Amino acid sequence: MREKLRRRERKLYNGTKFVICMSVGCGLLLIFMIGFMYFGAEKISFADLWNGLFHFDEGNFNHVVVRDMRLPRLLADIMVGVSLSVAGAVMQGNTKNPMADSGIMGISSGSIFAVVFMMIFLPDASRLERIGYSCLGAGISTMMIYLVAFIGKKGITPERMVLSGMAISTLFSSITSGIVLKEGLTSEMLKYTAGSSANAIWMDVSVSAPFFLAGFALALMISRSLTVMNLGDDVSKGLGANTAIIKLSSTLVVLVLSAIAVIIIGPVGYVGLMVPHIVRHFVGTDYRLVLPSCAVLGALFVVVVDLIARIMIAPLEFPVGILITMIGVPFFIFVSRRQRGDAFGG
Amino acid sequence: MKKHGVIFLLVLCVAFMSFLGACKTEDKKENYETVPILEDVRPEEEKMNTFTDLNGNEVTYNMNTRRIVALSGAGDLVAFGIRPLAVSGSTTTSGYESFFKGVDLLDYNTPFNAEEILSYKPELILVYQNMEQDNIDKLTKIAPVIPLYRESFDFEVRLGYIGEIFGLEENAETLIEYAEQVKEAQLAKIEGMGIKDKTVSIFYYAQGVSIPPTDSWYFNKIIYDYLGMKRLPIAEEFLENADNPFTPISNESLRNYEGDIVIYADLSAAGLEPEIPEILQTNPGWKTLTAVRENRVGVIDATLYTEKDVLYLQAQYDGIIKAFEKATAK
Repeated sequence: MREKLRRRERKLYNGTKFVICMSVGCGLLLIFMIGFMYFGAEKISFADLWNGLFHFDEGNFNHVVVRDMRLPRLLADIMVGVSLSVAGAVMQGNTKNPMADSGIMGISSGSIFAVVFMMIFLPDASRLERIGYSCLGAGISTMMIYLVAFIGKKGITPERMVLSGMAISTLFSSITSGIVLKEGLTSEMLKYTAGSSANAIWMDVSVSAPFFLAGFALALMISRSLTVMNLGDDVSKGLGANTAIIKLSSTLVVLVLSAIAVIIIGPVGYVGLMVPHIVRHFVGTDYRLVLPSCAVLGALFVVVVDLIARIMIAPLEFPVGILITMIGVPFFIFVSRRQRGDAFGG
Repeated sequence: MKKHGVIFLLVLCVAFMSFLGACKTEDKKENYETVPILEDVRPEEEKMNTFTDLNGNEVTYNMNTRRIVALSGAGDLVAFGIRPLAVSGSTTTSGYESFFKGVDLLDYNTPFNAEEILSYKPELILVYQNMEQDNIDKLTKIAPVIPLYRESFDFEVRLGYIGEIFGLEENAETLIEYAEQVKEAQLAKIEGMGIKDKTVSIFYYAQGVSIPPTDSWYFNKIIYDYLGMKRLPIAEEFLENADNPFTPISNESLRNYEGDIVIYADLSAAGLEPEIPEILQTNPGWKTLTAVRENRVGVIDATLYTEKDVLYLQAQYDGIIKAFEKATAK
């Protein structure tokens, strides 16, 4: 009875923290979105900002800055932040690996390889086809990661998954470099060498949006099942969960969202590692609370970092991917050390 | 399972390698031979010579040798009529095939492969101006090494030096005169077009739009120094900061860098017809440029300007003039 009461209390406590996390996150996101639209290399007034959004005049340069440069870039950042953090959280839940992230695990490298491959050998492919190839590359790399991690007596363990992911990531990066060396680097491919949303256009956003929304919706739909899965395969089967379907759906979510992020911004790692860890610290391990929180905080994180990247050396651009990596690497080391501590009971 | 996994990976890698091997290279542009065709008039017999190179080192070598490997200056050498055994693989030979007939392209340039160079049994190795002394020492064990001027824009210095190395001073004179004539003719064209005092903005695309650094690209020297065109003060300022080159300019500020004439330097044309890539055509900052809206952006093949050799001079000027014509079309 006491245990039941304690669990109920914890649930309520996490629920309260979720509401606070979402309220504060959404509030901050809104503030930074306005800041993102207002600040930049060119100074614009609030009147221009308003008119650029709601009374657009093609002949007014400031309106063009607002509607055709800052707004699609903001939306791209939000989509990438949501995609990577939700994909990271789902991946961590699905593999029970706290170090999982689409960038670290090599899934993004697979996507990049597929897109570069397509650009060279199928140069006339549309942007929609590019998303398909990006997903295909992500799928192949995921299969290979599992395959390599599975080899050996111990089978799949979180550490082996990370090592396997890093190996596959290196393999795909090397093959991509080989192809580029052989065929030459085109301007289009440069986007996939360092993550940057500086040149995001409406077409990137509009083509990716349906896939992004579908991936995100599917993630929310399986959030309860992911929470159950966290109790272990045997327990979740005992509770009537179809683990195979859940794992397949989770993998699909990760592939689509990771591929979308690659298409929009190029390679960006660590968002999927950092955000879910921070979120779980606040709202616990219930994925019905984790995933929406990840979406809000992931979007907030990428928007804030890109805002810094835009104004730190203005009127020049600093690639947001590099800035995120600079933040992500120390975090990765911190998490690795903590995992090691946990493993030894620390 | 382990065995199957490894086999799967191996098969995958082999498949990729086979695919890469099968990749075809596209045909490049037609012949471009306007430089005076000179002959190597050196006698066949050995003539040892001691020469003080541009670094002040004394080198003793056979000045009549045909057994030459050149890691630099291939375009200058073949213009002299000299046919080395092998030249740097990065040489822009497209359109100049007849000049390079019987001349191998080295697979390795920077870093060079000593074994590959040794396989040609050279009697003289010509290297680039800034080669480290350690590497020169390594190559000296194979054959005498003479560095050539690579960074200098002065044809009198570059070509006079090569003429002196091989005793082909007359050929050097002819080529120096040719270079001067080409420059004068292009200057006259610029005068005729009435654009001499115009400001020219050159952009390239890498992760965003930026301005190509002055020293790295020969077209900067031709446009701003030889042809006397002007650069916008904001662009000068951009290039003065050593950290800036290769950093993209914000799309929002790009129009501040637009001069009277806008040139796009295509870094990936590699001998093919240069063009503005799709990713740039859809770039919102690029679309704010007046020249873009009026469809008058000149395009040059940047790869043609990586070498300053006299062989490519006419093609380099022609590329620029053609771009100017497009950029100033009404």
